[in-house]
Amino acid sequence: MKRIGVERIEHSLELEEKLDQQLKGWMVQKIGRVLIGIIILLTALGLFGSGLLSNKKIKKNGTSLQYERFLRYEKEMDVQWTIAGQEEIQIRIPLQYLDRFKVEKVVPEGYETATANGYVSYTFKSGKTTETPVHFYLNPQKTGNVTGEWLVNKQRFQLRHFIYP
Amino acid sequence: MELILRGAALYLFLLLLFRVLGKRSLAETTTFDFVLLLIIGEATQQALLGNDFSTTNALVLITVLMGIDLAFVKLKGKYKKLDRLLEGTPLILVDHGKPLKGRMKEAKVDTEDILEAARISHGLEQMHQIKYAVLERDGQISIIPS
Repeated sequence: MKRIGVERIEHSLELEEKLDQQLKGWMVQKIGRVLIGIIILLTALGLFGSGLLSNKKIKKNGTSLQYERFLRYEKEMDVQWTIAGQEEIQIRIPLQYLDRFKVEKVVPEGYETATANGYVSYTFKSGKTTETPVHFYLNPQKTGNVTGEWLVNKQRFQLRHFIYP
Repeated sequence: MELILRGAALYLFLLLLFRVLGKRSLAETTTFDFVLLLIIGEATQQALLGNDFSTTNALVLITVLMGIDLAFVKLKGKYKKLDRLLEGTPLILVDHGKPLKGRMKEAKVDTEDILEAARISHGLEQMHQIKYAVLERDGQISIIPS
């Protein structure tokens, strides 16, 4: 296809055309359109939450964890645990981590809580089921990077998030 | 303070976005574009107000947005370069009846758009009756007949 150049002309109109600036502007617009496309693609992949880039799964000694790496301010998220073969489950969350969130709900209900040594611990009686799912519904209250090491029956799990404004 | 930052961030983001989309996209507003603008307004409102639906919050926010807009008007009046950067400059699309195809392609204007503007503003029938067609800063096409 033949490429058409931008014509330079002499005219009698009293107007400031500034063609060189127009050319720069069109270039910026083209880059901007590509950036919009990239942002849409990254959003679909989960850069702003819920997607391939955001979903994080960790499995360790019969305990599995699933959470979102990218969160949004005041948008509730779910930290899902599945713990196998334990009659009593103790989950300890660092206070410094919880400072960034509001705990909306914990499922299953009927747990015991205590605060000690910079951690809030949640203790669940699970009976003799093979797998116990535990959900923490947390609402981000501050923006930026958040890191916290949760303890599940003394096993350490590192959770990392970025909370968008 | 958070409200001011939120208002300023959204104002600048929308300014940048609409500048990148180009002026023709705003001038060619169709019924669907109007619906789209309403949706954008709704999404923006949620982000601006958050969970605070008080009258005070709304009044402060309106004042902040109007203040930023006023500041930009003042700055654009003072600095011509900033004005040209934000508003763009007029662009000649037809020179003595000859459509300038390279410019039209870049500005996303076709011959039909120019002829339509010529018919509406001056009742012109043919391209050769146009001396100059200019894409103005607001996205409208002005016609100077031969």
